[in-house]
Amino acid sequence: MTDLHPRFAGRAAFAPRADYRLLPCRFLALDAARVVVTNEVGEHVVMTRPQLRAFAGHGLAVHDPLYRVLKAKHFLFDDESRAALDLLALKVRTRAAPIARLTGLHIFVVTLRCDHSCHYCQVSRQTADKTQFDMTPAHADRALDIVFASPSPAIKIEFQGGESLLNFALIRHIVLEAERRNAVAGRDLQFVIASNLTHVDDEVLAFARAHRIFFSTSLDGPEDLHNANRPLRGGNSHQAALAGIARIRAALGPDHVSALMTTTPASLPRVAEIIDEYVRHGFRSIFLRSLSPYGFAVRTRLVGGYDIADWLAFYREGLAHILALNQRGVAIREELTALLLHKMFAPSGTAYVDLQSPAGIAIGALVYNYDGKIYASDEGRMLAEMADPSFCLGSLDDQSFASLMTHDGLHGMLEDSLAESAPMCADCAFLPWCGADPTFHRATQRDVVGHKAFSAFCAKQMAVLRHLVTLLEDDPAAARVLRSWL
Amino acid sequence: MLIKLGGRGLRALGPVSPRPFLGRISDQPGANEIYLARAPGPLPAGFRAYLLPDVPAGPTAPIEVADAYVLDPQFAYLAAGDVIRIEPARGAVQAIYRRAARTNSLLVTERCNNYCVMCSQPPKARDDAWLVDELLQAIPLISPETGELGITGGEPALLGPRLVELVARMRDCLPTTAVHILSNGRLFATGDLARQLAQLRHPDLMLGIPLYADVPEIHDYVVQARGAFDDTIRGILNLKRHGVRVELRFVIHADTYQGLPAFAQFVARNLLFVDHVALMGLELMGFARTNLDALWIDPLDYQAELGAAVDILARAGVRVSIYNTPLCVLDRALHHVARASISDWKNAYLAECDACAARDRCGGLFASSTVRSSRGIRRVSFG
Amino acid sequence: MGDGDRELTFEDGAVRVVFDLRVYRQTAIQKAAYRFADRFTAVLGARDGHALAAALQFKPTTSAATAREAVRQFYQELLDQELREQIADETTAVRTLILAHAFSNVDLIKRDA
Repeated sequence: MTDLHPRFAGRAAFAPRADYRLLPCRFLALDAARVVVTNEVGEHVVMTRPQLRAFAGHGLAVHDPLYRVLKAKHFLFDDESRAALDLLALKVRTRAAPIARLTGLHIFVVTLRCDHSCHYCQVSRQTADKTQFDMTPAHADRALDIVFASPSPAIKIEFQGGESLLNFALIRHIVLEAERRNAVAGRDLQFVIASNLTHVDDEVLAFARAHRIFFSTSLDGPEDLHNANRPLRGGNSHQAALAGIARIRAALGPDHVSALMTTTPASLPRVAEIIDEYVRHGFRSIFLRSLSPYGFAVRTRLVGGYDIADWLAFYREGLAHILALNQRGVAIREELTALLLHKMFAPSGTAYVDLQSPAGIAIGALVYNYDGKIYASDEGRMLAEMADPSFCLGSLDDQSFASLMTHDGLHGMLEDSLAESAPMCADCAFLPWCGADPTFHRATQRDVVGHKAFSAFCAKQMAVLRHLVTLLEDDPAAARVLRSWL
Repeated sequence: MLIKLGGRGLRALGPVSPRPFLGRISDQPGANEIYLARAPGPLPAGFRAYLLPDVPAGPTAPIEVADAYVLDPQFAYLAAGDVIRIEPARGAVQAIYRRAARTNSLLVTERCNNYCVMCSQPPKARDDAWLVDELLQAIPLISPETGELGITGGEPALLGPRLVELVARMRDCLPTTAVHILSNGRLFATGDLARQLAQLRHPDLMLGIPLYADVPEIHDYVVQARGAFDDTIRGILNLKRHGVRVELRFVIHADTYQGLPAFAQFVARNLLFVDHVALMGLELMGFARTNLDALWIDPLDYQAELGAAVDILARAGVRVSIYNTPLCVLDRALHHVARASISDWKNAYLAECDACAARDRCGGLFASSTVRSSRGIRRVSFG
Repeated sequence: MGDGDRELTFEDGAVRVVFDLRVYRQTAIQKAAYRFADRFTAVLGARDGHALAAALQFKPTTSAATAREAVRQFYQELLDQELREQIADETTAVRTLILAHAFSNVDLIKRDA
């Protein structure tokens, strides 16, 4: 390598001082030989244990490639260069800033009536009685007062049930009223109807097209699996769902309907088939969800039917299948993975309310139930069905956005469940990529914080993240696909 | 074409002014207007100066006006709307602004507080405050239809409040002209300069700030100043805090190319709010020529790093461009971000370019590339 | 590695150990024990100088091999926890500085209007 003209100083003249200072970081074991280290904003480096000891012991030489990586990614700094502190502060701020937008997701449970009797359902009622289980227009209007009192620039109104389309009249009312108010409020307003699609008729389609409404439906897998989970008296839920999907795509466009799967013990050995079913029916996204511990599922012993290791095998096999499909040119991405990748690599993290610290309860999402009660999350509503009302924040009859946001009980739960101060979470390397789940821990351990050593949520998060870090580190082909999901 | 922007080229035909002066080439008389005669003939009264074509010796009409000169043919490109400086004592002319050029750069100082190993305009430590004085006079003469003006140096921020004054005058006289200031950003790190510049509310202002690495030691080495990285980062943050648009510029050479992907990661994670990133081929002028053997790397040999950097930045949503690199030496996948960026007066194409299918879209080479150029220069055909 | 090298005896479903507090601080022991609560219950005894005795109590059905492996991993975790404490001590001040700056009222960046 030729030297510069003597008038110029060589690299040695600009070498940093040998002594460096640590920046805040956390680490945990990735596997037998390596650790993963994260900084305050979730940037990570994988290294061996001897390297960790050298780094933490101030023994890393300035010409070591690891030194350069750790300095650039803000794990260490030297006293001469403090720009790292300004940049870290800015990054912390960028990740935290979205919290201040407050509640963007507003769920309206317009009816509990339903025509299906899904085994894992937490809430529905088989009845034709509209008076007992439908939301009233008066309550809907009061809920809209709260919706537009939220400062969030983006508002998503999601209709749930039961089967939400059984109360289409109220959905119509809410959409029209929300749009009328939004003409003044000027938010980015989106509507989603969660439905099993057996009641998607021309009137619904025309209205949805006129108001650019999105649909979200359940597709648990191939026909036998789906129908076993989701019995529809006198019908075939799987066929009805596919027919509904086709009609929506034809009327509104290919991306106006998304599908969610619910995992049951029967799903666990069939992940590739489930994914193939999604691909076959034109979906580009699938969320490999774990079984929730709420409602009917607990009562029918479904939760006890498998343990976390079984689900993790399901996830790993499913992800491998999806990565292989991607490498063959099929565009399908796994949503849990994608959102964890965003938490790992995107400066602003993600807006997914179920994986935040402080938890997204109330401050990220609010649920307005058919009976006028307000819940801090959809899971909180389900917990109330199990006779635990801790996440009920009151009633539409007397609450306002301000009173909800300053609710003492809510603040207690937010503070208590804050991962940054929870045992084990506080010094966990995965903290920036994880979140608090107070409803899950309340449901399974009767405590919003929970003891994480006994937490299926924690076990799942840690195993999935270890798996992803390992893939990114060791499998370049997989890493390329994963990064393309960002 | 490599054209001379200034130098000796005026032969006085009669009495001349004692000191240098500015003027605009025009066919309307005025105190600041200069008449450019295309053929021999009578000279109209009322102009500040007169430029005549190089006519063969022979009987000519007597020149009765002051500041009439014969213009050397190498300056025959001058045209209406151009703003020039005439130095009667030296018989020199300098084109400060050319209306026909795609962009014009206004040199505000040759002093600098960095000393980049590849600097194409090596710094000079002398008092050249007169440059700004002159530009303040020149700006009102520049056509308001001008699309963009550049401010370069040396380090323009060394002007301090005079830089603010200059931009203010551009805002007032040329309200629809974009202004692009090249600066190392260091002097914006502290004090009031960033705020003052922002408060001008110039309608289309951007600062182009070089950043050469993700760690201080490499950047400081490239610019030969310890502490420069920190100052530059703080300067960028300060400017963005006040709402000034900032573009990052990364010059690719032997000492920087390996760090391209790491640099892109650093920008994608820490500086996502910048308005543009330009990844630039090396111009072989000034110190780049002095250090040629140490700094030269054939662009063909850094396509992997360049492609990785573009990919990282594009995925992060950062606007990215490749400057100063002909299409034949760029991976096909990168052609869509390559821009024709070389100023026309130092832009060149080679013989093989005539038959090249990409000629119209390609920015060509620096005229200085004759010193050394890529082994990959060849005409491209699209299959 | 200290205590971990010694032969671990598994009696009455428990492994008895003595921690050297000059090597592991008490908070590190407690945090490591908390993490392993699903595998054993650490019953910490009284402190005697720089020695802290403990009984690591396993579920009745646990085999000796399983117990020993858990204790081996526990000592690894203890080392890690000690290192975490050290890093936290060193970085507390700069972390406070960064967070204070991040959450101050000063405008850190203004996007284009």
